[in-house]
Amino acid sequence: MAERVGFFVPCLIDNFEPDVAIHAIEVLKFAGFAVVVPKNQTCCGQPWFNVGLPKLALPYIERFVNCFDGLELDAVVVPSGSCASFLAKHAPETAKRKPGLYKKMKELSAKIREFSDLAYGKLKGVPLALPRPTRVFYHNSCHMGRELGIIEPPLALIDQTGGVKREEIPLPLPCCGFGGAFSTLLPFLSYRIGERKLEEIAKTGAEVVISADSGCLMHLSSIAKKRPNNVRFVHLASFLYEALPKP
Amino acid sequence: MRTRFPLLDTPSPNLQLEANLDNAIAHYFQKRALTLAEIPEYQDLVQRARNIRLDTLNDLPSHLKRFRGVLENAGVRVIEAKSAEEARRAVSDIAKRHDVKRAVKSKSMLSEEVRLNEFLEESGVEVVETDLGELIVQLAKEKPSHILTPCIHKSQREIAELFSRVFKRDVPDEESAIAELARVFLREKFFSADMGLTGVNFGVAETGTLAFVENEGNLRYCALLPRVHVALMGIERIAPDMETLGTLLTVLTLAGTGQRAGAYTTLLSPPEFGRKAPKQGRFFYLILVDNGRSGLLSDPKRRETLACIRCGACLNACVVYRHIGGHAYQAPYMGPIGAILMPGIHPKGTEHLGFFSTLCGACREICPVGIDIPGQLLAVREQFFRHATRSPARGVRYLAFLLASHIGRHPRVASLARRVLRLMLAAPCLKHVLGWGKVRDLPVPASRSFQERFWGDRTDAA
Amino acid sequence: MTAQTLLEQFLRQAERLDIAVFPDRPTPALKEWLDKIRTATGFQQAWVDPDMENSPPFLEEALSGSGFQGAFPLEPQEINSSPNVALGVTRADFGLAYSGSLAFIRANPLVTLVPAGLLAVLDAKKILPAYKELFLALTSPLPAILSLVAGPSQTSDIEKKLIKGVHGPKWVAILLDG
Repeated sequence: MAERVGFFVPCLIDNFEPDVAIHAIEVLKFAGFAVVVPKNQTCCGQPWFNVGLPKLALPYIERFVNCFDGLELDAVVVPSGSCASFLAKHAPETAKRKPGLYKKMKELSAKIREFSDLAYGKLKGVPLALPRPTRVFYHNSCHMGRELGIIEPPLALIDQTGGVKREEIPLPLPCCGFGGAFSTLLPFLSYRIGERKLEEIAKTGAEVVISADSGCLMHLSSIAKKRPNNVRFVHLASFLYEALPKP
Repeated sequence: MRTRFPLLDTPSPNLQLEANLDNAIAHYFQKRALTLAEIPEYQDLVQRARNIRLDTLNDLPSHLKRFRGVLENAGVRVIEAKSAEEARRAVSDIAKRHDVKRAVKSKSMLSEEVRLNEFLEESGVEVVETDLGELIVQLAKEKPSHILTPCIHKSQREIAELFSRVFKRDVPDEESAIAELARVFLREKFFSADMGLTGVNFGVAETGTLAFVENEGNLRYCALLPRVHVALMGIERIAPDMETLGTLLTVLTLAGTGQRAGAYTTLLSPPEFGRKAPKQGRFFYLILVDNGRSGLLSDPKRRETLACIRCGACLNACVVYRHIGGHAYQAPYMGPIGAILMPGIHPKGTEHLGFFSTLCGACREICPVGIDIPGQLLAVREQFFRHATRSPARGVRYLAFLLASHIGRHPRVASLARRVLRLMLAAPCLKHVLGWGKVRDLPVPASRSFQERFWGDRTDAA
Repeated sequence: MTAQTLLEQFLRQAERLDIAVFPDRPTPALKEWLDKIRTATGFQQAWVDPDMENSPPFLEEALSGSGFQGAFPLEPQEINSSPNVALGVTRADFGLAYSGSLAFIRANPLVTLVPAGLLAVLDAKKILPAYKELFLALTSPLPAILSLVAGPSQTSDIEKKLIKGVHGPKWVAILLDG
């Protein structure tokens, strides 16, 4: 029987890049998962947690629990390393502030799976190919790499895609400078770091920048718009969707 | 007037600063990678060092008691300073008692923290910084901008120009010429100083030993040549015994400079502390400084910050530090460690430093004692908002986040907000109301969200 | 770990630290090293630590052969009046295989610091793995000063460029004994 996964839609994807969610679901279906999308989802609450107001994250955690609890899911898939790291690592601790919430959140947190990590388990070795040869650069989000420790799966998925040449940066800046609320609190600094990250990427000659976090992508693409270039910014889910075998 | 810092207060970057930091930090990472490639057990060492530091902090009062006991039994003068004021005064009293005219000083972040130099200069003691980087910063009338490399913000050319001006001669733009000039200048100071001031890397509770690590040899001069040696030590810098000291020394230099050992490691033990003839008018004093550390220690959520061994690695790893430099923190400790330590020991005017981070976690990854710096930054941010009423700017910030949280938590309100934002962005004049709009175009929200597309527009339908 | 492996590791690290190693007999390499310091500094004075036991018999000749003169051994108080000593000669008590560090317990700490060059006589059998073993080897009470030297005095404060001989010796060498 197909594994049943609940699909959490990160708020940036929901509101700014809805196609990414549709692509992610298609990729998951292709990989053989039965995908359940609970209604009335909101943001995971991470922005308030990260800014030092965990109390304000509570209603979001509560909603998350209400959306996903009791659906008998094998996993909850999150197409964002950042939201996944919050839900898996920090939400349970924050949920302790509300009686009864902790236990359910703790159970759910054990089921949280980042999209590329989950997809790789099924798509390893499956032939994928882009319609035309492309030089790509993969930007791993900080939360995905350093909090969740997910580094190999997205790279492996990209590398197994036919027609792709993946470029790398020696000694890269450790972060793209987005940082969620950081980008609104220190906008000049955030912009400048993003600009430097784009300079690094430009040196690789990549035409497509792939990431599994919409935050980084929105941040970088909003800066790239102000500079002459022809780089595209693509979520890993959309990249894989493009590379799925066409019927 | 308040100083305006590039990228914090103004949109244009300081390109010279960025280039200087990039260059220095690239060197650091190369050296570090070369060394660590041959030490496969490094992560185990880090774990061991972390356990040592946390265990020590959990039992710090008893370690300190033992440390003091050993020293006092050996007849060593130990002075406890609760505050920066007490620490400054203690040193200045010693200087007066021994009729000190000139003091030579090795690099000590703690001395910056208690603002020792200014105080001593005011009381008529000439203080000469003897670490090359510190000397450069002192001659430029600046503050250190890095824990390990105080003049990291300066290029060689800038330093050569500074030396030409100060020493009134033509100093070529060559590192060896600059260093040679400093060597000759300082050698005379070492041999004529009345007092040597140093920090302490670690104090060993079991033996009373003090450990000092350096590369230049200036610290050794400061500790051994002048007739009075005063060492300042933060109360948290305790190693329980010699074995744990070995582990801490090992990770300190690996993380700080990518060296297996500093060029000079000096271990002074009681009763003489390297002074083989204490009766011939040679004196040693140890000043144990608290200055807010007890407060951090008593908070189990914040204690971890005190595990820091001041290697400076987190500064090199930090993407924020690399773009604004150390001076922008306006605090004696800068970078990620400054952002978590300062609000703990000196909250006034430093709590905003908790926001000088993207929470990318590179600092935690590089920390040789595995401090969860992002976790500590979150605690600082909570502290900032606990004091939300302290300033109108803080209050406004809090209200903005409160309002946003109310909008986002209801799917229907959030959907409405998305539409409003879409309309606002269509009107160019409204773009600038939003934080991002200052520097860039905000991405335009989709006309229909994913959930609306997936379920139809009636998102509330069960 | 065998004594041989320890010695090999020590020598490997010492080489990386730019520490020259000579056997305990007169060699052209030693002469070259001594001549280099004599010429580069322009100073003639060598300071042979009076605490040094059993100084290799050829050493005095090697030093004078390279033009070193002066009081010998030099008294500590003379150092204060003449800080421009070209060479310090003393005995190291241990070497550490992990880092290539030399550990000095009996030596006057200033002899390893003030001169422009440092020549340390080291017993090849006195190599310990690392700090831990060194600290265990020290008898209680600990020496008033335990001084570890890992290569020339250095700084990277200017654009992270390595500069040698900032305050302490620019040249460090070991005379491997036994």
